[in-house]
Amino acid sequence: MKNNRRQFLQGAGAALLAPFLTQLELHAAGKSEMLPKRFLIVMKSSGIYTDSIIPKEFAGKSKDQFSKTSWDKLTLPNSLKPLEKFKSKLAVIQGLSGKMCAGGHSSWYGALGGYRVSGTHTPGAKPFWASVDTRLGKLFPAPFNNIGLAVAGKALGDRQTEGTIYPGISATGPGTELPYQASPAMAYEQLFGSAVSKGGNASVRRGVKNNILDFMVKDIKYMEKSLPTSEREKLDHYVNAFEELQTRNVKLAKMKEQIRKGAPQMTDSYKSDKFLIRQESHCELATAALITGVTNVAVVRLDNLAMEYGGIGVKKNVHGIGHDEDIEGMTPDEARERIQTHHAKLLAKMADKLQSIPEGNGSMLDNTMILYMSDAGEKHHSSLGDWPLVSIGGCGGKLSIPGQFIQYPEYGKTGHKTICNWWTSVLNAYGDSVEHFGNLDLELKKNGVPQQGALTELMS
Amino acid sequence: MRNRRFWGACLVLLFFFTLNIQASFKEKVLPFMDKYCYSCHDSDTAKGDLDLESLKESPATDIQVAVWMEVMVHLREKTMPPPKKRKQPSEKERFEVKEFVEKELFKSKIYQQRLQKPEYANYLEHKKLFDGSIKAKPYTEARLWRRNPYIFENVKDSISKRDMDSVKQPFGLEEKQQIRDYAALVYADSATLDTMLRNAEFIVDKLLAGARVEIYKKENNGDLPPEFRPYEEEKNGKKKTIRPRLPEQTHPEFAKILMAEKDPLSEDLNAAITRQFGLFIQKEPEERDFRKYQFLFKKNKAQADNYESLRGMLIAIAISPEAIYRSELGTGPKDQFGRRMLSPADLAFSLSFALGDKPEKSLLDAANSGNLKSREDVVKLLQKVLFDEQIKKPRLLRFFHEFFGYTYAPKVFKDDKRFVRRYTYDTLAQYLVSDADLLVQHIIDKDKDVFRQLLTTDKYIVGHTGENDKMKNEVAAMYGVYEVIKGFKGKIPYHIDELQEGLRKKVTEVGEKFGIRNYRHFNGNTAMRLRDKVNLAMKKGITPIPDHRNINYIHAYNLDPDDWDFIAEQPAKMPNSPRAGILTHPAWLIAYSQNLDNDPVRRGKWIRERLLAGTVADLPVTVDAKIPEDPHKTLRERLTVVDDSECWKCHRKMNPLGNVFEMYDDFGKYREFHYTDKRDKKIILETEPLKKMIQSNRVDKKPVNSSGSIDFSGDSQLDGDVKNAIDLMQKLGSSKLVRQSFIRHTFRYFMGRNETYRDSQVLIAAEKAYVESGGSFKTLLISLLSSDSFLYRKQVN
Repeated sequence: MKNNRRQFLQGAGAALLAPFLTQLELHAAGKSEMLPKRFLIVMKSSGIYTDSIIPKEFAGKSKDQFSKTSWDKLTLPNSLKPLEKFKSKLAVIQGLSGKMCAGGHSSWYGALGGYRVSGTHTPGAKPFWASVDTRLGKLFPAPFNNIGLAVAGKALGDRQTEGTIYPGISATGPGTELPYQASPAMAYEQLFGSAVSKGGNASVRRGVKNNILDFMVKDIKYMEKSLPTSEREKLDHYVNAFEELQTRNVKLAKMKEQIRKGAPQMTDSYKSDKFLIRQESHCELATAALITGVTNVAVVRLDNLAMEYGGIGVKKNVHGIGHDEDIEGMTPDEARERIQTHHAKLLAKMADKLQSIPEGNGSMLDNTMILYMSDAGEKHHSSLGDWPLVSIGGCGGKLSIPGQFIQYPEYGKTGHKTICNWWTSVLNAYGDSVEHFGNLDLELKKNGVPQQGALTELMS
Repeated sequence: MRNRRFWGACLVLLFFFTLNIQASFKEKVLPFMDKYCYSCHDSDTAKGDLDLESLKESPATDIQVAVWMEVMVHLREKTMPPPKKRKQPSEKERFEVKEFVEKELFKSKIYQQRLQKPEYANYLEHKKLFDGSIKAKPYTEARLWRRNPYIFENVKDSISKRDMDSVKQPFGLEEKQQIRDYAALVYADSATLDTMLRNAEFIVDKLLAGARVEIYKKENNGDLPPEFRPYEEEKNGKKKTIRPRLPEQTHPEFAKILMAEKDPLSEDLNAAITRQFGLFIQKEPEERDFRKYQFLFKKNKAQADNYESLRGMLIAIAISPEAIYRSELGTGPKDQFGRRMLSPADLAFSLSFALGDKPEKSLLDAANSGNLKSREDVVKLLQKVLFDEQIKKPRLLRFFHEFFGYTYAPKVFKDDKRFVRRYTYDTLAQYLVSDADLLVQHIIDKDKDVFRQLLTTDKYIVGHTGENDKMKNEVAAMYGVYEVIKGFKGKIPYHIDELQEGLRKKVTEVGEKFGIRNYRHFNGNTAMRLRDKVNLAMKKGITPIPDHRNINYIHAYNLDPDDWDFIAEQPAKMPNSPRAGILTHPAWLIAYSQNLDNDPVRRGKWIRERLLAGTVADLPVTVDAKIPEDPHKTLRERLTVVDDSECWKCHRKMNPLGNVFEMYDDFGKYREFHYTDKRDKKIILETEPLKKMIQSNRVDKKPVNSSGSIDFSGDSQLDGDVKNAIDLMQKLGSSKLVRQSFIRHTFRYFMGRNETYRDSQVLIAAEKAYVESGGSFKTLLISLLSSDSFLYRKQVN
């Protein structure tokens, strides 16, 4: 491994680039099964209320049976109307619980990790293990295995809105959070800068960074000479880490054309500090990151509880709406619907973009899952008895959900399932054979309700 | 020609050597196996999937190594052939085969690698380590040791305490209830670099931000950059001037380079390098460091200005190997055994980080002034540092965290509803852990008979800060304030001065008289609570708990906040439940429990490995270890599933030890009975409704069985039945084997590695020092930290 990387850096690296070249060839040959699968998780705060995503035909009906119904026969609820065009690729899954996670304002790492951590107002605790997004990132590696974009930090009490931030929803492993980028301009530079930027401070900085990488590699190798073998191996790990960064740079350099083609134009809107503009920019950048292939797994954190959707006429922050405070000109339910409709428009825009790129026999959207959910499950102060999920895209043919409205029996009813069963299904479907992802719900366990493993009825 | 002769001689030697092994294997091992093992474990029978007939003399694969290790342990612990079999090998036969097997295992790289991991440390034969038969000279292999998370936090805090939330921990340790920081096992990889780089960029930008503001001001007639200019904000109809906080001042060594219009002088660069080393590496740079970082600066300068060039150089220092690894190579002169002593500077760091998280000034000073050159110097300095209360030594308590593992309690997920209503489980577990910490710290501070005390003390610290004088004052202040307010009946208004002019002042003065400042915030609600609490307690003839915090967690000790006669002088014996040391402390019991019940298997394994220096083989991959679910049976009844099966060969080393804790529930509450619901005959797991159910006669009960036994310990005097956990802990607390096992673990934590046979003399001396000092943990540490194993290094390639 170590030697390979070194040989590669010494000029014999064509072999390592093979996956990327093959990817291009696969595109050309239309072998969609072998094409990388992409994931775009779009996470809102303050819950997605169950009633807002179920079809009108199901409104007010009992929820004690499993059902899987094609959207062809159903009417979209108001807040999902902007996705009418994608009805055949739309899935709504409702009825999965998540009581093994922390309810309240946010489940923090629970949403993508399946466990309880921190309390309703306290985001302080560290993650227990790698979250689903980073596990998926490992399955479909790219120069950046994962990217995270967030308009603001943690759901509650975090006002930082620029630079590297930690919204507390993704983890690369026990105790280690995945960093997110808050500034669209910086995200643009990190993802596409090497291919598109011309001159300026950013390119000077890139040059200096390359100097540091070269310097460190040479220096560590020099130091290794005075060490016993076992300790040399230790430093080898570190030198490899520098070489990996260099490799990423080389990979990005080789993908220059691909990146140039897929990256959006750098505009002033990426420098804006306005919430809704930044939100839209993040969605654009995440989509472009998937299209260019610099990553296959992106998470967009759409908002946090301090944000105010004034730009679409909602004059109250998300927290206030969640607590049903007075809002100028509308009821809290109307405010929520307006925000979710706005989100659905963003989702439609991303789906449109991916659909416009041909891939295999169809489009990039066929190999993508855009998953819209909330870290707070089914409402602002969630009890996580339900965790609504909205998916758009063909999911690479791995799941049988596109075009379906899927309802699970509600909590306490026979056949009830959990969010951890859902994540287990996703991981299993894409090649991670985890037996069960996340913790068990102890209440269900005590009552002998089966809750291990994947939802086979959703897998292709 | 000479070469050919040499290789010829080697071949001949190798031939005889191989012949000799084969001879031993054929003459000793195979007949032994034939006589005692093959009847169950030949290729045809292969009981328990164990085929010893196909075993080769030299283990080469993972599986072969694992099987040989199992054979070695069975021979050592006399667990095989099964004790009930009449045909047993003689001591001599066992010894010869055991020695052969161990010798062969040591030749395997797989075995050697396993021996580096904490979980395999006990595979060395305990007796051999302490019987004095090994005369080898101890040393530790020359090594680099990655910084631990605590050292990083310390460096971070020493750089700046302001706005450092974005600086993340790069040196995580695995979340395991064991000693975790082993030099051979932790290293920096790409995840480390990723975080280091992000941290370095953030911190360096922060360090340079002050100078950037100054430069802007200089270029703009003293104006502040736009983002730092005051501005007006209107809130609730009022205008307010907001003044953004300016960045911290940049260190002058960096500012000088940034402000310079020309290329910096060599000495200016050296000053900046020295400053950055001080911040991130906490060491002076060496001559080579100056040269190489100056070179990097100049290379940067070819592409960038002073700012970007300096920024790049500072980042490089912050992510350099020196900022990650501490070097323990041994640079003193080679002694006749090929060992070199650590340099005084390295020794000062090694001693500092053995005890704490930052370089200890007195040790660094001693190194610089030539007073840290010999073992005697080390002993002299440690006697000062260890007994100086002003010097913080957090790693002492942390050793016991990792040894006992009780700090894991908050991570065992339990349902809030099962304990006391309106109580969150996380908080409960945190309180219990801090109680356990106070108790351990108290025993460390007393420094007498430490290990035995930790295992057997029946005196606990509960609902207490650990400071007796302070708690006595709290009680006195509570009664003092009660005297002031007791005459006011009924509702007391929130602002108590409305009741009587100057009342609040009076209360505050009473509080202050006893040094308790909380009474400054006294209000009507707290007044009524205090009055009613003391009234009720007086009726019952008890002292109430003076603490204001939520005290319901003490239910875990079978104490009821309304009925407990508070004890200000602690540690003290608590009523209602028999306890003996840390293993019967609720924090430990929870840390080693399942979500819904106890965990006798893990508890038994813990005792086998940590206290009896024994081993339990890894769970075979083919076994799906699950306790059968049956809501009508107790855990112990359900666990009998392993009694008569293949599982028993391992479980007999765990379950009889772990079962003794059945006298406590999985929150650590003492119990004498299991209760079942009369209606559905299910065992009741919730503690909250139980009380009411007992009162209304809705339950059946059966006595808890907490009996157990110690078997296969290797000490015939220790083996035997025990009545319950208290009985077990008393026995273990007085055992020499247990003491030695403690010492082996202490060695591991402070040396950052497993002991080897060549450390035998160090372990023996450490035990002697501990015993002769009347069980002083600090004396034990002085012995270990001034031993050859700590002071000497040897390069092994």
